[in-house]
Amino acid sequence: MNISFTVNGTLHRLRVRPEATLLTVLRDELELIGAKHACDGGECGACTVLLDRRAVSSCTILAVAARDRQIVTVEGLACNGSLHPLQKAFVDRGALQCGFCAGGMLISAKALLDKMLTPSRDQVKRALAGNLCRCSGYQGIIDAVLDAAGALRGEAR
Amino acid sequence: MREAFEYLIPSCIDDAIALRRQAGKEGRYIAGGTEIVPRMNRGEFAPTCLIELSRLQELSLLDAEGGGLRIGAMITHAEVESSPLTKGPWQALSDASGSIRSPQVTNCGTVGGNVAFGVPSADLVPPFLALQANLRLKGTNGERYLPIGDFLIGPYRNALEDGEVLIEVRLPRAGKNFASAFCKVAKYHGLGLASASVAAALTLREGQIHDARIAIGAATPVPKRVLEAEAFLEGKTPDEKVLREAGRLVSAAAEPREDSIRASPFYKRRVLVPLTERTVTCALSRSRAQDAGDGK
Repeated sequence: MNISFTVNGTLHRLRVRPEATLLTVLRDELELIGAKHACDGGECGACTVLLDRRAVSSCTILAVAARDRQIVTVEGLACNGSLHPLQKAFVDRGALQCGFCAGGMLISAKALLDKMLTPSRDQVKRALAGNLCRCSGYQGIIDAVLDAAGALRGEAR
Repeated sequence: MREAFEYLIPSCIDDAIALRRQAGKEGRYIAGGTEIVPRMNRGEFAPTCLIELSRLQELSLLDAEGGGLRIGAMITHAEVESSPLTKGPWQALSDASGSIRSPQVTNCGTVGGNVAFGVPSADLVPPFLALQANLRLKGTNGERYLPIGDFLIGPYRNALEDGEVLIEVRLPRAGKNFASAFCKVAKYHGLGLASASVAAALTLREGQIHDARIAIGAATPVPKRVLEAEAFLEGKTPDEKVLREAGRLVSAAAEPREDSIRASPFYKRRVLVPLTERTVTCALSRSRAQDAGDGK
């Protein structure tokens, strides 16, 4: 099927197989490999992207169902070569271990911070509840999201 | 050799029904995709025709009407959780959709999918049973309404006939002091798939419980009402003993599978006692709060 959608601000016109997931199209057609191919079942959150500003698992959405919509992947967070405050906070906190879950974590955290800039620790945990970190490095990730919220509010850490 | 796979996007209900009938057994409706797409990825399910429901506007209505509630099949869990319309008497719905762990699922998963897919642990089904939901269905022979208890005929099986589509869930009018609640036990701090769940709806009048309806999920082949517990609660003044007995009756109605995955049959039966107490207590306190709110 011929579809078009916007990824990180760029309009793409594509011919996709109807059974292809958004994840495989992002990775294999558009070579955006920040969304990871892991559980393929909406369990782990490693493939999370924003679809019209909401966090979704791109492995449970067919590419055709994302037609005409706005998609943001982790590649779309940095702006003109400078890291998004979330990315900077992840680096500063050392919130990455193996790093495999990080893209999905960043996107889920962005969905949260787009909605609220003063989340509680519990709200951060809820927002990240669909993202698994198999290194179990959750505390650093939650701390980093709270730091980023502070940075976005204009507070120095 | 795989046949050509069709993906169809009808813009009215009648077209959807006609396309679904043409597709026959290999066709499926698709809503949020959170159940179907993972099964396709795993190769467990290989439809040759998917019919997307997102353009059918009637399926995306969420409306209070005549003291009742209409919830379109395409309304997402995130919308159920956050809507002001699913509060007050209908709070059990917001409890249930809000108990789903991952935002990625609640942003996509729909009310219609939760009901029609027939997963034994589907969180919205016990609340819908307790709230006496009627399902509005449409097929080639026109519309019909089916109580949700008649819709679910077995695990992963529903009463939809050839080509029929679930349009919306309708909840009958709630009277004064009517309140509801839903609780579950699950991993991930209670946010995972339910190991057992209970929904309660009741009216507290002059300190006595009336018209109690209790339903359980993830502990029977399909969620079901526990009529014994409902009859027992009628006219009772709630206290610890009454709640404990209601819990015992609910537990006795469980039929957990011997090989159940998330918790043992023993655990499910055991936990249903305090889970029922907790759910009924929550509904009672909401009923009292409504009464106090009305008195202002």
